[in-house]
Amino acid sequence: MNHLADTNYFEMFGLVPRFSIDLNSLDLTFRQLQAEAHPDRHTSNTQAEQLFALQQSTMINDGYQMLRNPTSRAQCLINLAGKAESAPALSPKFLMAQMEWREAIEDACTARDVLALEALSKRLKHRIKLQVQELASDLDEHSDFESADLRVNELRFYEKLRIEIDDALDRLGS
Amino acid sequence: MALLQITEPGQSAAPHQHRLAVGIDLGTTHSLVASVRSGTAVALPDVAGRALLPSVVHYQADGEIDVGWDARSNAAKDPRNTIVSVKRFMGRGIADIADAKTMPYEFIESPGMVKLKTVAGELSPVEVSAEILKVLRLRAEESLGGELSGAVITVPAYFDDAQRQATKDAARLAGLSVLRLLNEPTAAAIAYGLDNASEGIYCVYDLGGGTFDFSILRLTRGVFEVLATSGDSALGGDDFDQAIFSWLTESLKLNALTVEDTRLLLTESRLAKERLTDVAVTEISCTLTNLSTVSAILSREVFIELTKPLLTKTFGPVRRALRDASLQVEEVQGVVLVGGATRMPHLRIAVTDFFDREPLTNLDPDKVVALGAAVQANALVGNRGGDELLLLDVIPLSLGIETMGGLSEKIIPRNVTIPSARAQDFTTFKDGQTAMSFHVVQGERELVSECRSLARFDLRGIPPMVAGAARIRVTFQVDADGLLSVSAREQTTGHESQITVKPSYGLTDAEITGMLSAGIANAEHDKNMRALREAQVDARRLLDATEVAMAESGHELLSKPEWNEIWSQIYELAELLIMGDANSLESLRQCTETLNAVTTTFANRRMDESINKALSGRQIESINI
Repeated sequence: MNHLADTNYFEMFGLVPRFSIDLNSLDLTFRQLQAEAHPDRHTSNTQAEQLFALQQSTMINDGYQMLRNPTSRAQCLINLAGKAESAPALSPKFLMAQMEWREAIEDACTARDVLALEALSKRLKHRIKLQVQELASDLDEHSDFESADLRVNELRFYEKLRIEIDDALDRLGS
Repeated sequence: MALLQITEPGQSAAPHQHRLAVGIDLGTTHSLVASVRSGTAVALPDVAGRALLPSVVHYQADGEIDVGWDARSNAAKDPRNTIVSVKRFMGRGIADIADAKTMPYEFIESPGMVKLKTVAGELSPVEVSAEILKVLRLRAEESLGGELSGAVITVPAYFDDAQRQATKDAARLAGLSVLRLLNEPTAAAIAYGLDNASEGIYCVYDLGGGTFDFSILRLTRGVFEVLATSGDSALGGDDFDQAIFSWLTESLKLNALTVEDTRLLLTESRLAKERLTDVAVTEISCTLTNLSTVSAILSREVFIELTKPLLTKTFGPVRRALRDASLQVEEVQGVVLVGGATRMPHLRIAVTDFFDREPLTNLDPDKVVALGAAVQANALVGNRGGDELLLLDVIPLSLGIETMGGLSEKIIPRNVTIPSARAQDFTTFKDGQTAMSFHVVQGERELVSECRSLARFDLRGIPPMVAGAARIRVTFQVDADGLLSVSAREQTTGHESQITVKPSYGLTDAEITGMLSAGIANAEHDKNMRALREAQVDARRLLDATEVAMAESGHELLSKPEWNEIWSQIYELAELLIMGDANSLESLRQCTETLNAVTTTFANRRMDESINKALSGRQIESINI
């Protein structure tokens, strides 16, 4: 992802840096922070204040999104721990499975089979859910950053697949 | 305080005084203006008591410009010079206008945005829209009794950067100070949410004259958070008229129609569509220019059949927005219908079936957008009662940059909450390369050729290095209006290039200034006076804001020398403002700039403090999870 700074977003949102966070509390803090920082709240302030509000509000939005999404939240933790490797190697088994996913999506597209795509989408969501659970256990219980790093990398592939399925459904007008 | 003396009566910008602000719905078929009066948003009517103003502009040979009802009734008589639904052309090239051939206009291809050839010359859609906005501005000023502090103008959520920029330009041209561009469905949600004190997930299905928007929002205690938005910026009620028109011409084998006939039949088609809301069968009859009569019976069944594909087309974006927001239909707590076209009974049935619940229609679908915009405008100028409202909107279409092979690399994906900024690093691909070209595009497709081109710019003066050694960071910043600015910076040397994205075919500042001064005898003098007045307003506003900030937290956050420096600069600017004559424009600007500069640190400290305040009290709770 192309996020801006290496800010400690957990700190920004008053959270202990853990993978399992209270999303309701995150949502609430997000709204409280934006209520202060959003440019709409500073329209009659000085130019300097408006610019600063824009920057702060941007950072809060970015941070919120980073923490709300499990993949980027895990990446934040790995970065914080200083354990980020450059793209750990994916197993041949995983890559094979990826090929199968892709073929299944392509077949469903060619057949313009909306139901098949929706079934794939459901299966993929389940797969992602399991992966996130494993990631939570890696990070919060075992502090196994190496394994977590690999799972994050795999999750990125799953997210790409999710976008592909959504785009395909889009094209079929469904 | 001493400084209050510098505010002249009637031009007051004192922070706690009620300021005049309006919301304007610049619609495809109708436009209207609303304002908050005694705590309630109301649409402002014309002298005849009508709130709606048809978005029709008639240019006459004698130089007169008619806007609204009269212009609309003349549309069939003088179709070439009567511009209807100009919103469809905003920020659009001729290739983007699907039914350009059947329209009674003479389009002129000009770089990017089309122009229309009329008796008043070649006009940009921006100029035509500005005429509509001018009428509404005057109406508001008369009705509210003073000059407007600012306006919130609504745009379809699915408008791209070019269309937004064009709208903002039109407002500037009409002499309006734009507080914010607000997405139409979001505006409608504000009006509904505040009216019904709603909480939870709400959808807005907004079928206007020329655009379809669908937005999903989460409403939580005055916070309106857009979760996803989608739509089709070339699908609207007009297409339903067009469907009847095509049915008429095909079934009656009408060909060789004059432009007058086309306009007449389109109008008759629209009226028939409107009648079918209340009756099951309607007759269309009129006389063409060659005196032949057209007569046809249209039943609601046939109309439903004719327009089924259009209706079906709206549910694609609905499903996409639900997917983007990761929501199921069952999680939606209410669906709001907006736009005159949502009066069609078969549309209401289709929406009810899809969401398995009756849509909300208790606010007038023609007015609800302007009412919501008025509420936001009131909050933005700092009037009382606005401090509870917070809007968190999203960007509707992904923004990217062209990479090798004509592919778009997405930098900011769609449905990201704005303001937003993202950066991406690029590098040189040739040894000794000293310049790099960037092409900024908007859209979801992978191929650049299928996305909308927004701007091109160059970064020059990169120090020569081996290929791949330079690190060029491109940063996209989208502001709260949804408008983009892009900067590129060579990381090793800090060499920078920055542009605010003016769409490739948007208007330049020079063109705007040109249009503003056109027709004014003393254009140069007028331009200077305008510039001076703008500078005075800026200076006053800065003085007010600084004074308030100093009183609130100057003692806490500033050292004695800092305090003194700011005050001496305040006095200097205040003095200059009181002296004010045309010669002092430059010094006024400079002095304002200096005050801005010396208050930067103060501003940062104030913001840090307010953020910390928002966080404290949260901390303990969160740590105990």
